[in-house]
Formats: sequence, structure tokens, C-alpha cells
Amino acid sequence: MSAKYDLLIVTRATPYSSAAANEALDLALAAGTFEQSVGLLFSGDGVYQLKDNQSADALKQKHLNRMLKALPLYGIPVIFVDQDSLEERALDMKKDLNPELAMERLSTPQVSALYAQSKTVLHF
Amino acid sequence: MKFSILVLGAPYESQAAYSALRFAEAALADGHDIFRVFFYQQGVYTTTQLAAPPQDEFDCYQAWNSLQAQYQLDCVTCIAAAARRGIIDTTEAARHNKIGASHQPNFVLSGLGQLVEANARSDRLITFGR
Repeated sequence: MSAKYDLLIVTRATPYSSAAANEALDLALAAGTFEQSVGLLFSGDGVYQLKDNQSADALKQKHLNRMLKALPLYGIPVIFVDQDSLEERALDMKKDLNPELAMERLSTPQVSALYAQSKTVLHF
Repeated sequence: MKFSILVLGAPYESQAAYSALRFAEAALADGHDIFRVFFYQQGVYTTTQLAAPPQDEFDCYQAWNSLQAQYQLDCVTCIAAAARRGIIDTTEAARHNKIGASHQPNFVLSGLGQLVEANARSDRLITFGR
């Protein structure tokens, strides 16, 4: 059976407390460049990367939005968001997350299916 | 089986670099192939040639260097992740106007495409550090 995704990147890091979020997105864009099918799942504290109204410049950091908005150009048209992680953090996809991004909420069984459909899973 | 290995943690920060080393040794001793070892995120610190652990401590940096030499392993460090963290070779040192090179000379500084290719061309990509 061939996998739907060559690479599933699961990003669980907060946006600016380390380079992990930035470096996970770097890999997603690189894999897209090489025409790999890439799944990108935001889970745990990783959902904060998608929050609307971030002030990255206050932390002297680059806003992640620039990379997130580029994803469709690199063959990643939709990003996946773990629904439980949103609920645990009282975040509403429509009200709290960046409306410029194409997102799809996944339930726990859907997340399991996503893992099962991927050749490789990398956690960041 | 053809493995590639992804190292995401640094010596002294986590067990990742040492566990990856032991996995690589065991896989090679068992007759498996290692297509590539890729160092990313904090894992790039494993590829410094300037670390000098006390003599009565295990030297994880040297152990990786020896394993690379013994099997001529393709050890690749992500150039962007490395440059951010002060791991540069002579070319990068000249380019960024820095006083010296820190990267293990037998390892290769290259881009994330090398990791993507390793995933595509190996039976398994094994991650250490997350």
C-alpha cells in the first residue's frame, strides 16, 4: 500500500519560545519544493502558531505567518489542526485563529487515520 | 534494511545524539545500510569539532567522528540550523566574516533537501530527540 503522504510533520511547539516551530515549517517548505506529498498537523501547543494577532516583532522574531501563508505555493493547500488541542486551550478556529489560513480540524480518529496514511512522521 | 537517521538533540542537552550513535553502531554491526545521518535543530551541536569534554567523560562528538570515518557514513548537517548556532565550516566562516570554522570537516553542511531525499530513499527514517 502506498502512503498518501511521504512525510507528515507534526508541530507541537509554541511559536516563538524556541526555533522548533520555524524549523518545522522550514522542513515542510523544503519537502514541498522537492515535490513530496506533505501533511502538516498542528497539535498541542503547536496550535498557538496559528493564533491571530501575533506580535512577533515585540520578541524580535520573524512572524510565522509569512511561512504559513506560503504553504499552498509549496503544494500544501490545507493544514490540519487537532481539534482536542484547540478545545483544551479554549481556542475557537473561527474566532481565534488566523482567517487567512486554510485549515481543517481533525478529530482524534481522523488524526489516527492521518498517521496511518503517512510513510514517515516527524515531530517537532 | 536501508536506514536514515535524524538527530534533533545535542550532547549534554539530551540522550538523542548518543542513542542515535548506538542505533547506528548496532544497525551497521547487524549488516544494515545507513543511507544518511542528518543533524537538525539542536542536533547540529553534535557536529562541532571544537567541543572538548573532560578526559574521563565519554566523548560523543569524537565517537560520531570515528563512526563516520570507519564506515564512510554520509553525515549531513543542516546548514541553516547550523549557521544560526555557530556551526560553520571554512567556506561559511569566510562568507559570514567569522574568525574560524567549527564544523567537523568530514561531515557535510547542506540543505534540508538532503533530509527529504533521505526519507524518500530509505526504508526507514529513525528520529532521535523528539
